[in-house]
Amino acid sequence: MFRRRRKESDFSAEIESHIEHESEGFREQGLSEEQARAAARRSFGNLLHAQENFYEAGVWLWWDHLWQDVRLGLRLLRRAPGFTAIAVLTLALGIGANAAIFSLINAVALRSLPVPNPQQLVLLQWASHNEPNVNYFERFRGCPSGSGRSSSSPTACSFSYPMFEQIRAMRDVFSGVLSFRRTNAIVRVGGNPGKLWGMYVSGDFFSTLGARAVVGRTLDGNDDVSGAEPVIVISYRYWQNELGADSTVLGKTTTVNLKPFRIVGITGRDFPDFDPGVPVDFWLPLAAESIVNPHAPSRTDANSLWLYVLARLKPDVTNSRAEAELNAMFVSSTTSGPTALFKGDDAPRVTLYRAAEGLASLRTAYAKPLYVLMTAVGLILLLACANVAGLMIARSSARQKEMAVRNALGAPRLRIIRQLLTESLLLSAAGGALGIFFAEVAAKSLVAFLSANSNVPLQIDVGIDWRVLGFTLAVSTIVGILFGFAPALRGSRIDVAPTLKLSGGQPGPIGRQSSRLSNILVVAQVAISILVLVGAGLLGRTVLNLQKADAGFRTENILVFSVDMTASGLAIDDRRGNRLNQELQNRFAALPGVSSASYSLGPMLIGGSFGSEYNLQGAPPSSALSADLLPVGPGFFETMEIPLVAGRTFTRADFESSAKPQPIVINRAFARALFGNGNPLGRVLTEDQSQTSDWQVIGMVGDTKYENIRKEIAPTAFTPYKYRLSTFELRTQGDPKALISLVRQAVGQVNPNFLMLEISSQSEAIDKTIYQERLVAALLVLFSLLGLALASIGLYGLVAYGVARRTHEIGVRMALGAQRHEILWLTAKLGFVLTGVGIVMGLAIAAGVTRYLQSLLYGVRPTDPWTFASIAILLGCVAAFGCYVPARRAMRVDPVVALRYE
Amino acid sequence: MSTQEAKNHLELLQGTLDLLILRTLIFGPQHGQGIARAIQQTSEEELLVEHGALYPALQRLEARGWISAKWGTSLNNRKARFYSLTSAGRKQLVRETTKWKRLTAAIGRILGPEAKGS
Repeated sequence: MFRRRRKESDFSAEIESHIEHESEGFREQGLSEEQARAAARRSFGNLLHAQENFYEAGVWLWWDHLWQDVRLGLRLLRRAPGFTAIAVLTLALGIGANAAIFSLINAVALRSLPVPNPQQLVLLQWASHNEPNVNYFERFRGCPSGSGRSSSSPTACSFSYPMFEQIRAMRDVFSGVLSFRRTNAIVRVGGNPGKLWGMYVSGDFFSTLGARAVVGRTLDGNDDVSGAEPVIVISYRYWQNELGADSTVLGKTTTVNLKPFRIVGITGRDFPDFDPGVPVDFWLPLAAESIVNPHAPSRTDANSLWLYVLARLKPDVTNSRAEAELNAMFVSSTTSGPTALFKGDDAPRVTLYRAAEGLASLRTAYAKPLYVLMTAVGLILLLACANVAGLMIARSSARQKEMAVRNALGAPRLRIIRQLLTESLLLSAAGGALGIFFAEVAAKSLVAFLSANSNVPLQIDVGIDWRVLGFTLAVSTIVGILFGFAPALRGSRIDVAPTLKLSGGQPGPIGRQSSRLSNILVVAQVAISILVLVGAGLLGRTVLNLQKADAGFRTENILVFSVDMTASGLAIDDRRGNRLNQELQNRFAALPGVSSASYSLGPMLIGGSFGSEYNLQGAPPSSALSADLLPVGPGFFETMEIPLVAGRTFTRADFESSAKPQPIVINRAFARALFGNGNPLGRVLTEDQSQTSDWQVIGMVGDTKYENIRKEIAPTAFTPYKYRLSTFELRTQGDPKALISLVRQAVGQVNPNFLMLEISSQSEAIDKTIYQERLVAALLVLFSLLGLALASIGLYGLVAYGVARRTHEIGVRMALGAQRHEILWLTAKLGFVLTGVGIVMGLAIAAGVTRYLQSLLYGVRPTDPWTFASIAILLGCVAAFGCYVPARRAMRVDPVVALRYE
Repeated sequence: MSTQEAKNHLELLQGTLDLLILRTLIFGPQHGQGIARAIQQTSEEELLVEHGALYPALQRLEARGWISAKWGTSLNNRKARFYSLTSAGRKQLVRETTKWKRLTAAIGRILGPEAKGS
């Protein structure tokens, strides 16, 4: 297709010119005008042929042939609606599943931020050999290489404000530097207050990103100084969805945790959720944090690490140059002086990570399951290809006559291959188009599932963009070639004469090669299904194990929720908070349907935990025990049904006194770790390396899981909880969620401005923490059923085709006295053998690769023999059925009919 | 396909037409009919270029970038499409000429003196 186009008229003109010249020569030899022209034409030879030659070489023919092929292909496909429907549907499922998972990956990991020149943005992360010397240290989610908890090589994305200012001053490498941190707050604009996620941002946040407001203005440097008027910028999404796109909100006052802020702008529609998927609905100046939160880290303290720093590289500055200059500054300023963050030999250094796609918390959280799923759908697509290829092979043997005729009529082999490839590309294009539609639906429901199970509200936009379209187009094309090529090559290799001699409806003789190809395809199908099935089996068992896992208390019939008192405007100190907690507890306990009620600092089994260090008084610091900690209200153990092993639980009196040592309840694991087999009751403990007698053990309870259900049981301490901001736990008699409105009324009776938030049942909360496993397992099961169906259809087709081809032979054998079971075995044998080979191969591959699933598994080894065996048996049974059905037809062949078949 | 009266011309060997065209163009740009005439005359009327094959050959050489074409006016003031040799064509000519000479020399050695005698 690289030929230059030359018009036919141009060519005719050249021929015309040639004849003119030629006849001129003849005229000079003395011929008349007419004779000369005739002689010239004669000497030119066949003019038409020359023109045809020109046309053949031209571009037009290529298009003409393509158009012919497409029309012929469409006609042929329309004439075989069954084949076309099955092939298109199979491909659509395969391509659709791929496009769906890809659009998720695209949404959380690949899509660039919609700001000018996103490739210039870099996120800063430091790493060191030892923990920094800090007063305040935040580890953020979404750090590019994770936030290392191991104390041997701590790493984080948090920086101090003075450090941010120093980085901002590096004008020769960065064209802009911004900092921010996430927050959530109760925001009230006019009507109802709601808990929203937002950001505190430095003054140059919006200008460095290059983002404008759609209404009003964004924040700037003048807003980010202490003493400036408190202002807020609201997200386009919140403005549209919650404020009805009312532009009069501009200039109005809103409250953030009851502090007034004036709305100065609405961000543009496409202003990014900085962390793809985690919505941000308001932005406040960094300097305003001290207004909202009196305990905000100090802006002057170089030992408080609390800010993300993001920089925009100057256009001509490379990443490595900026990194070198940055490190020179960073090392010298963090390892010297009295407040040095690091010691000289800690080798602190900063790495710049590409931030064109924003932060990475979703990417890190979902990367593993998404790539597992991508692998699974890739395998499914291979299966679909194998299936359609199988169909095409069967079809191409039925079409051998057609091919032979075309060949005999002079179509070169290449043209036939091209025709067949055009057909398969048509199929895959149709499959791709339908697949996009499937993908859209599937991706939307996946996102719905993800956000229903996330503690942070997710806003994943899985819209079909050019990248998804391009991906689908590429996949469809590759798929079309993949399943079309071998059958096309084979279909075009024809021995014309014998094929044409075959009578009407008879399928052509099947070549050794084509049956070998079909056999390979069937083996591959079985092996791939085994792979996906094993994955599904392992993940399925993981989910079952997790759901069965013993939490140490009865998780059914517990309602969990938090009560936020900040929106009430009451000045609540700890003493008052304690009283309010107990008042709420009493009201809840009195509700019909509630057997008992208690509260704690936070909920159990939602993926987070508190912790502290305990030691025996007078013992060396090295014997200190790092334990989980949960401050709880009165009646907590009774409500949760955590068994008391020894001593007693807290009484009301324990919550009134503040004399040291305070009472503490520990679990068995704690007792074992610190006291061995000794009696823990009455022992006195110190906390966090203090030398005072802080705690006295009054009771020991059974072991429970705390942070999440996956984690091993950890030593855990329970202390009396006497402060505000509580999570309440209600043991109910029936469905816990049926009580929500009743409970809400009870909260309202205590104070109409108290907010009931984060409501769920305990079992729901546990389900949420294992939703990754549930999601992957559910999808894998779905995919593997699809795979199983595809593979058995493939087997069925193979055996059925064999039966059809051998009807005559079967008739002869039966006429000669063959037994029915012999016929059954004769026809089904190949299917059984191929299935066996496929199963063995599939299991072998699975055994090699399932270890990559290790981190997702719970309570089951990657090569769990039971899973492997049961999958093999399952597939064996389904495959046997797929072979048996067509083989049974062979058994029923009437020899008389069969012999007349020809 | 030629309808030229049988003058006992030699038939062109496959692939030699391209070489002859390139060689003819070494003297400067020429149109199709001129090329055919030149080959005929230079070979002392031994070789006859079938015009029907000439133009596809020109087309082919042009597509390969060995010759380029431009419309111009011929000596007797007629419009004609002039072909000229590109530098790639010049190199191709050298290559092909060498090949051809080796080939004819080798064939000559094999055919030997008897052939001369006839």
